[in-house]
Order: sequence, then C-alpha cells, then structure tokens
Amino acid sequence: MTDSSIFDTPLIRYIAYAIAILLLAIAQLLVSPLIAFENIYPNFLLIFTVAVALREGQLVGLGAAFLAGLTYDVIGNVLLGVNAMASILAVFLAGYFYREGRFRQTVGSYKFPIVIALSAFVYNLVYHILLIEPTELDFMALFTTYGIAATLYTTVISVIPMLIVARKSQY
Amino acid sequence: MYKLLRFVVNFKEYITLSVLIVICIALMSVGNPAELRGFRTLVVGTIGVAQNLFSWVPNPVKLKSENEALRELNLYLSREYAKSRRAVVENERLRRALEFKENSEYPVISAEVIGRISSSLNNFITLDVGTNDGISPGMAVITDRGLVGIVITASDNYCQVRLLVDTDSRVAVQVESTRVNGILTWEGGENLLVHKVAKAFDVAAGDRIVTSGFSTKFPEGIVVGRISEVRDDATSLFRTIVVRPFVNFETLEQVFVSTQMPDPERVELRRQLQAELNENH
Repeated sequence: MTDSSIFDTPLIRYIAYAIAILLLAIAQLLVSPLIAFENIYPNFLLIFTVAVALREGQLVGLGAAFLAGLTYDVIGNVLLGVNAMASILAVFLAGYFYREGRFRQTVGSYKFPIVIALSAFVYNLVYHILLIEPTELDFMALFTTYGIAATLYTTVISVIPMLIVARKSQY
Repeated sequence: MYKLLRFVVNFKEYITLSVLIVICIALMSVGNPAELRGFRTLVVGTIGVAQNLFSWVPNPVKLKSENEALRELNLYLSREYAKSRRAVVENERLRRALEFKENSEYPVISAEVIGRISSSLNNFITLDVGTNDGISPGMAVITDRGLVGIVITASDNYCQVRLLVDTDSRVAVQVESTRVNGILTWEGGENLLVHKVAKAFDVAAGDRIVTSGFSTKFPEGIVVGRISEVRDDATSLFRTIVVRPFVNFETLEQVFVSTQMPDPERVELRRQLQAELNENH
C-alpha cells in the first residue's frame, strides 16, 4: 500500500487488494505451518484486511474481509462461510479505528498491534464458536488454548508491518 | 424515498455487515456443494505440490518437539527391549530348570536364591525354602549345570547353603571316565582343586568330574566340572587336578535342593569312626 500515483485510483487499489488477498491466502497455507508453534498459526490475512480497513474505512474493509475469508474457506478446505463470518466481524470492529488520512500514524504506531489484538480476539472467538460449539468438544479449553494463543501470535507478527510502516514514515 | 436513501447512506456499513452475515449463514447452510468439490480438489492438488516444494524448510520448534518425542520414544523402546531380553533369558532359564526337575533321577525342590554372604574365604547363599518345605541340613544343592553346595542350616522358611567355592567345602569326587577318586576343595580363585591324585592314575585335561559314590553327603554322579589343568609336582608322587566348575556361582538365581539324604547307617558309621579317631588323638 504505497502512495505512488498508480494506486491513487481506487479501482486499481481494490484490484491490488484482491490479488494480495489471493497471494496471502496461499502464503497462509504454505508459510504459516513453517512458523507455527504447537499448532498455533499466525493470521496473515487478518493483518492485511485490518490494514485495508484502517486505510479505506469500514465498508471497503468489510469487502476485503469477506473476500479474504471466503478465499481461505475455499482453498483451506473449511466449511464455506466460517472464515468469512469471523473475518467480517473482526474487521468491522477494526474499522472503528479508521481515521481518514491518518493511515501511517495508526499502522506505524503501537495502535496497530492493539487493533490487531482486538480483531484477532473477535476473529478467533467467532471462529471457535462456529466450529467448536456445535460439537461435544470443550469450547473453553480449546479457545483458551488455541484461540488466545493464536490471537497473541498474530499480534506479535503484526509488529513487523508496524515497524516497516513506521520506518518508511521517518523517510 | 429520500429518507430511505439517507438512512442507507448513513448506515451503509451496518447494512453491508448484515447482508454479508446473511450471505455467510447461507453459505454455511449450503455446506460443501458438489460444484465446489471439484475446484477444491484441484486447489488441494496444487497446494500439495507447492507444499512439497517447501517441505525442505525446517520448522525449528516442530523439530525440537519432534526430537523430544523421539528421545522419549527411544528411551521407552530401549527399556521395553531390555525387559523383553530379560524375559527371554529368564524364560530360557526357567525352561531348562523345569526340564531338569522333570528329568531328575532324584527328588528335588526348586528354590530361589534370595541372598548371598561372601568373603574371601567363605561363600554362602540363602534360599527361600526351609524346613516347612522339607529342607534339612546336609541336603545337596544343584542346578541343571551341576553341583552348587550343601545345606548348612535351615529355618522354617529359609536355609543357608555353603557353596563349593568355600574354604571349608569338601566333596568326594571322581573322574567320570577313569573312576579316579579325590577330595574336591577350594583355595580361592575361579577353580576348584583335587589334591593328592596319584601320578599312576590316568587323568587328563577335559575329563569330567562328578560326585563320587564314596560321598556320604552328595548323591553319586552329579556333575561338578571339567579338568582344566593337571599340575605335576616333581618332588612328589602326587599331582593336583584343577577343575573348572560348570556352575557360575556369581549368577545363581534358581537352584534345586535334592531331598535325597545319605544312608543314615553309613552316616552313623562314619560318625563313630570319627569319634574313635578323635579319642585316640
């Protein structure tokens, strides 16, 4: 998400977001298992869609989240709609932190990991409710073990783009 | 109409959210449509190829936990292997003991060695059988390999056995092939000795040594060991036979007590002779 002229056109930006979502969905499948801790995976797609919401607002963020969630549902062999539902609710919450023209200040500061933490918590909560609750599995045990851990891991990974944006802002 | 449009514009995010939630619920209720299965199969295949290309990249955390799990499994399997080896050895030992008991010429009682008393001069073992099991002092103790010793004392449930490798041990033996007689003793080390065997008698390394019929303590014909060396004394008319015992006294676990006692008349006669000799001296 640079401020170069080609991306000033919203349509070009939205197409770029869609391509990035597709690539990140593939990366989520291929790369995240390599950096997983005890079956806890970071959520690259969530970080990206939250960043989109902080740049473009809640409406575009919702669209990106729906597309990202649905894409991951299809290629990740998960029940259709689960990731999409969790993503749109998480990014809707993140959209409340949108401030027009203050993308770099938000993403390049400590606010970004906080927003990611809140969004990831909502994402994992909804995801576990949809998948675990209908079964006989212990929801609380699984959510506190995997949901909270995944939230924390995603928050830690979000520090990387935060530092990149913060460094770019200095120049 | 204008109000409706204004409502939609003001709440477009919430309306969009609601619509998307409804779409998600509809998709979840559809489940796994047949049209999607074909596409998913293609995607899974493509992802599988890509994952295979990345499979060489190690995950340090996974490797560490896998390493720990493999170490634990290795330790567990080593213990199980050692256990099964011990079981095989014990099975073989018990099978031989059972065969020996069934084929024995004389009645025997099986016993486990539960203790040892060792010193440089004397060696005893404690067995888990006693007078309640029919054990009496003076009974011979044997294994399938050969003579072990003699019962010295017995309580209700236990008894103590003097081993052949004891300086006080005396056994009347003979060379199985040539019937040459002697008294078997122990003076330390791994081997037993038979002193004062006349040079005129034919003995050679490799001959088997068995208990003699002259013994009042042990049944005749129990194997003791094999002649490993014949030591000639140039200044004497006698030689010393070195006997390597068949029994390994360090690893005794299971033994048999022969309940066959010596003839009491012979024992009494010997006692009277000993008493008379003591009086004269």
